[in-house]
Amino acid sequence: MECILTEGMTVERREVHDDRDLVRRAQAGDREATGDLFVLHSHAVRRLLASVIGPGADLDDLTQEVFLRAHRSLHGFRGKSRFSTWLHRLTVNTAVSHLRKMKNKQVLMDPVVLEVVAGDDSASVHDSAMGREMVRRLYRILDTVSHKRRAAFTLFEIEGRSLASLAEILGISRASAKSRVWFARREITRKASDDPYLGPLLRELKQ
Amino acid sequence: MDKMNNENGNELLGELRDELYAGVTRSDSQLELERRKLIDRIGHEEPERAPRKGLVIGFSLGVAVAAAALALFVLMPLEEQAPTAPISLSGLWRVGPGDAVSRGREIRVPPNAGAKLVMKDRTTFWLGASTRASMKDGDPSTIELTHGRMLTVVTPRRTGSGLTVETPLGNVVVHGTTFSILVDGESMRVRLHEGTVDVISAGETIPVSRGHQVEVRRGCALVVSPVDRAGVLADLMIAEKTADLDGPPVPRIDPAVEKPASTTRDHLDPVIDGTPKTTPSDKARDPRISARDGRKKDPAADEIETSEVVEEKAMEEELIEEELFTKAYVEAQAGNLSTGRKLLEEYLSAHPDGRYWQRVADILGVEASPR
Repeated sequence: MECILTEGMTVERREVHDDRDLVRRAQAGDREATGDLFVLHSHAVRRLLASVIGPGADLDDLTQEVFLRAHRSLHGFRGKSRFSTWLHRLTVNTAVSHLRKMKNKQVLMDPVVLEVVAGDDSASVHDSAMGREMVRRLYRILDTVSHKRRAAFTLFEIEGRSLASLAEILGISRASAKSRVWFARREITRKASDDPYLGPLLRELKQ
Repeated sequence: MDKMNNENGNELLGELRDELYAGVTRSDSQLELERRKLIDRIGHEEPERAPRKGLVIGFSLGVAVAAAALALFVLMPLEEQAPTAPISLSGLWRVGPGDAVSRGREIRVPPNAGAKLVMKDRTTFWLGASTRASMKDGDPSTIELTHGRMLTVVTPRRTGSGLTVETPLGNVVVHGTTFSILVDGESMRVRLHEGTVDVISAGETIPVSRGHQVEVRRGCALVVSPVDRAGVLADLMIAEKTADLDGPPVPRIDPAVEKPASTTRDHLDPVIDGTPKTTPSDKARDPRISARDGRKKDPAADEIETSEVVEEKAMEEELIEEELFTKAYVEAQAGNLSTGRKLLEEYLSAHPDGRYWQRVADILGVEASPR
């Protein structure tokens, strides 16, 4: 077992396992195998959660929640689809139930204030501030869209998934996925029609 | 803003993604910490889950959520399965349609909780707090109620095959009905909302009809009396507790029993020749009766209709008043005194001449007077 030192602590470098082998072991109750699946897939899960939920999400907690749920229901995974697809569907469901909870609690996310850096007109500062503002405005509109449309829009437009992948994750037909994205885009475009930040972004997405 | 007008490639989308995914990437050390945390959490969770593995239920029991104390059970008898340990419900257990619970296993509902049991033929049992019941092993038509309160809606199909509820104080043979049973140590009370049942105790058989209740006490004669409001509300509470769960809707329980003498509409009207007598007020209160009455109306009956409309309007107002009273009562009984008081205030301001304000005030233990 090779060991490497990263940021002052020892990390065991694990053998690369095939997903199927890890899944089989995890299904048999091997916690280390679940841990290895976490290492392999947590980045994609975090990215997916960030896409659907948006800024302000506690990605650490939610990622743990996704893998805990996965561990609990892994016995139901029959291997008919890829493990990653199954996991990503679980992730979207977790994200949606988190959004529902937040809505029920009527917890408002802290407003993200557009940073104004006086005297600094460097491109990076400008980009960062504009990106933040775009994200804030887009997710404020997404908060008013149904969860189904929100998931379809964020996976397709922001994550950049294909329609086939979207359909697989959401458990719907390709045609349904397409229409859901279309309706979501239409609704968001209508709501953001006067927004100087989102208008160009949405036109870009349309292209 | 110059940049925004520059629709070149996917620049804006790139900026959005950079911002959105800024916190996504983890270092190896962070990842390892998270991995260990996950394994610890699984280890922490599994010993708690281990005893449940012993329960042979034939399906996954679903997700346990600690926040609520309601339960939905869908029963599907498993033939020839030996009884095992009782199922003690705690937290929220949810079992989907088609899932199975073995016969002979006792179901125990904890205090401050409720459970809804739905048979394959949609016969539904609502179990109140601290109730113990089981499907009798080897006899698909018998339910054993050892202790507690059970409200039941029996479907016609079930009626055909016959359903018997066995209690320590006697048996109830069901002929298709909505009824409740309360078993409490030395006594049992059967309350009829619809249909008929036979209560058999100590060799005596008493047929009970709609709007009546029978009380059985160990060593005493059976006592039949009209259903009282408190009993109706107690039954409503069981059903309402599980109203948010999936499954058949809460049964119709007429809250308008025990009318004051001045009213001309008597909802305790007994069964005549086995057929419930239908009054105009029944029609107004019961949407099913109205739906059935789809005949063309005689123009000569306009005058009668007009009086019925007036009567219906008055009844509607009365029902609104009763609904408010019922809400306050239910809240008070459930111990939610502040909500109960609020509803009482609302009741008193809306119905200064209301008939029930004193009862609400008594229940809540507050001094109140109509304005």
